[in-house]
Amino acid sequence: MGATRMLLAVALLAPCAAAQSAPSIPLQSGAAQSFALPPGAFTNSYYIDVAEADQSLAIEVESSTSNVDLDLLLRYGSPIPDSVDGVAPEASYLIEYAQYFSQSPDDNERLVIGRSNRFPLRAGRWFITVLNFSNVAANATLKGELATSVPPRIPIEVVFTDTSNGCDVAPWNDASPRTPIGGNSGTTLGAQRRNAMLRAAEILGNEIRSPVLVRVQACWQDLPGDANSATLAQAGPYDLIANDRPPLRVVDGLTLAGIAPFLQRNYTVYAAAAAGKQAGTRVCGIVGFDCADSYEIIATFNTKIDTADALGDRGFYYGSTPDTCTGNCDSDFVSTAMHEMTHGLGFIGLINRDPDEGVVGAKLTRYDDAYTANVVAVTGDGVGTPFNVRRFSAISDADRGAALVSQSGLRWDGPEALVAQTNPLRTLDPPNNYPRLYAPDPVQPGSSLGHLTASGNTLMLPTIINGIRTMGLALPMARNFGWSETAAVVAAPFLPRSTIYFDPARDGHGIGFTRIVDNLYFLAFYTYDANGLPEWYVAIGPVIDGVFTPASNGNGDSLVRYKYFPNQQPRQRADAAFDGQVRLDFNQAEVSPACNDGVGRDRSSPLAVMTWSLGADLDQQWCMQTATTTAQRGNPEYTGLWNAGDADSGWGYSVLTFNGGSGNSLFSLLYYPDSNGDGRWSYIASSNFSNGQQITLKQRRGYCRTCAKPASFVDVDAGTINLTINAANGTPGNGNGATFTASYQNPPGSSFARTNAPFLLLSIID
Amino acid sequence: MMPITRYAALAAVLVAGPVLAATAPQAEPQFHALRAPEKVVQAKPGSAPRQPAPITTRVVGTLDASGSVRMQCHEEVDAARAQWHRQHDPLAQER
Repeated sequence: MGATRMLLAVALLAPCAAAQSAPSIPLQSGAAQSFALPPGAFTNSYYIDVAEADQSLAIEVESSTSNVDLDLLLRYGSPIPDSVDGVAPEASYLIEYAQYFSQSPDDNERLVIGRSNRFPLRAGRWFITVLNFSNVAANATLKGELATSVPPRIPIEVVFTDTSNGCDVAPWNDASPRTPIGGNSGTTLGAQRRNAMLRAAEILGNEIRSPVLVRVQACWQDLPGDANSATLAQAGPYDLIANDRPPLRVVDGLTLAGIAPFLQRNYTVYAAAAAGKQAGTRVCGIVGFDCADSYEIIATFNTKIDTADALGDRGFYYGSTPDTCTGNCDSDFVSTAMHEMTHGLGFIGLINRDPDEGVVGAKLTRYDDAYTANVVAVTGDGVGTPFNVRRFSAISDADRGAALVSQSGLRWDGPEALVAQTNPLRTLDPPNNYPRLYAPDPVQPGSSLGHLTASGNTLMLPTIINGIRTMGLALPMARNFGWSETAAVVAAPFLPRSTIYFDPARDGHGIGFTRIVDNLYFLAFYTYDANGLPEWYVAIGPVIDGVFTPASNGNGDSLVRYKYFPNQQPRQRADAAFDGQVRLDFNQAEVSPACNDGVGRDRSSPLAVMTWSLGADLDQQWCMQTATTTAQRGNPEYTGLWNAGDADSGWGYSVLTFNGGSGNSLFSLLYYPDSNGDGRWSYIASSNFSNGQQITLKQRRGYCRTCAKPASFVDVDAGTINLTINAANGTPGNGNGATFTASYQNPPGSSFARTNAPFLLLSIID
Repeated sequence: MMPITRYAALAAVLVAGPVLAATAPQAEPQFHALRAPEKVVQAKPGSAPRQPAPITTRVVGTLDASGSVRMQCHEEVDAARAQWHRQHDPLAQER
């Protein structure tokens, strides 16, 4: 690559190149490696080679040093960088490189993955990073385990002793004598309760086969109840997790959202246990909670049950085997606990079903949830009227509301459930083979959607049936909301199209996003300041697993504004006064909240969610599409990043050529400094570009990034440009050239001009 | 001016990393400094106060005509927990 292919605006953009000394120490399966990891340091020296036959990989690190915090990262195929342009990386940047990570504050971490994980275990080299956040050296022991069988099942753990969050644990130790019953050998009420709870957990654990620990906080509380009716139990996931790009945080008072690339579906809420299965580590490892204090499920039972305060003399039946009673039956504890804990595993839909709480059918959070993502709304009968099958999460609130009371139109189309032996409809043709979800009219708040129809004899009916001891159809359904055991498809390597992108909801702003070499991209964000005046910012970094991930510079910024000093070397300096961050995620953007805002977008190339922060505008998300469709490619094609070479850096162009119907059209941004050294831009547009053509530069009076989009834009003439493009390359003397005078609105009366400047391509034309 | 070798170095790493690893074995791990590790530790919620997620399911038992308990399950949002989560974000990070 010639020196003239330097970037126009990044002469000073230091953190652009990640460096990596080759990982050099192979882990042999089962053999531990020990080392002393210095404080505030990390190592990328270890890797493990996986063979074709291997189906399970477990990596664990632990320290014999007290009070240290080790974290563990794992990545397939390419190592995590040691440094970024010679600068020590932030840990958060290393985590963005990782496909799996465990970052609890503890002194030990463990990751276990198999072929069903999103980045499936496969033959080749897996790279390991260990970090030490402590201020003392940590004596670390690192071990990898490979197996040719699926990751081993870990039993569900029930904790009967934690009193946090108002949890009453005394009923687990009630010493009232009891006669053993139904295979439950306990001789006290407390022992029978514990045994029954453990039996429920054992059954679920055996069926769901989690390779990652699921921990249940088991509680009692004084819940509502009287002689005729009482809350028996309540349960749910302890945490909800979604993969999104801004820093980890609570969203909508409901969901922990952050970088979690291992989740099968982005922008989608998973129950903690299901997220842990996919992460290969517990939620404490995903989020950074103390694992000793963390749970995946909380289940609470009513202390009024088994007393005269509720339901007369009806209490819980604690037998392990089903009760054989035919009348005056107690409530089956094991069935109830299994049902409630299955909700805790993720059998839960985040859609409002209560008219008193808002619009029936409205989502409870901006994200889809993993359960509802498998639900379709079916109308028609396939006989008199054709079937119309629509994704439940993708229709309007009103249509969801209608589906919720459709009796038989709310159905599950997750593939494992369709073919399961426990699906009584499996032999029918679609959509008649889709299991029916509970959709009575009127809607039953809380019961509709989150249960199967009240037919058959299975665990997840709205009315719990005594004596159920298997998940039944709920098990293959669970495989569809995070518990898959089906081998995942390896994603094809993806490099985004090198062109101009914009969000139609924020048009007038946009990015030139162009590939420089390999997976290294340059982003120029052309936008407007608070006064609507043009300004631009730049970023450079790799696309990793479909995510543009520029590192931060010495000021902590990955999206950088530069000041231009024409008489100094270097001519540009990063402006530390502007805080900027940017990420561009091309993975499953179509299901993101940003891309589901009701605005139409061309999807001939993958959409991307651009998450950016500038100054006080934090974590904004725009849904970016390419400015032209793939069918409109230019001929000749000059789309890319251009400048005048090293000797005249600090300004340049994002060029887009395309077939606009009347010839080869050209659109270009010209980035340049004003007399204060601040970046400004103008644009040109020619519907039938020819060399030497004089084109008027336009400067747009725009709108700030968080302001309402105006009904129309005001463009003013800002000079002229003559472009000659004979060659799409960056070779000096290529016969190209540019002559222009670009005036600016602020400060007025001045201009930036060049005569016969070189016109050199910096990027790769797709 | 950023040296062109930065790009060349990156390209070399991207393309040849695993090959280098195979041809240049070494017995001792290499250690690298983290930038501002204390900031990350502060950002970890650790043992910060927690509440379960607001979404929960509730089984209500009702005596039926036969004297048995009919168990109906409802899903609901615990308003108090939701309010708590809005006010106590254990993940709020220093920016």
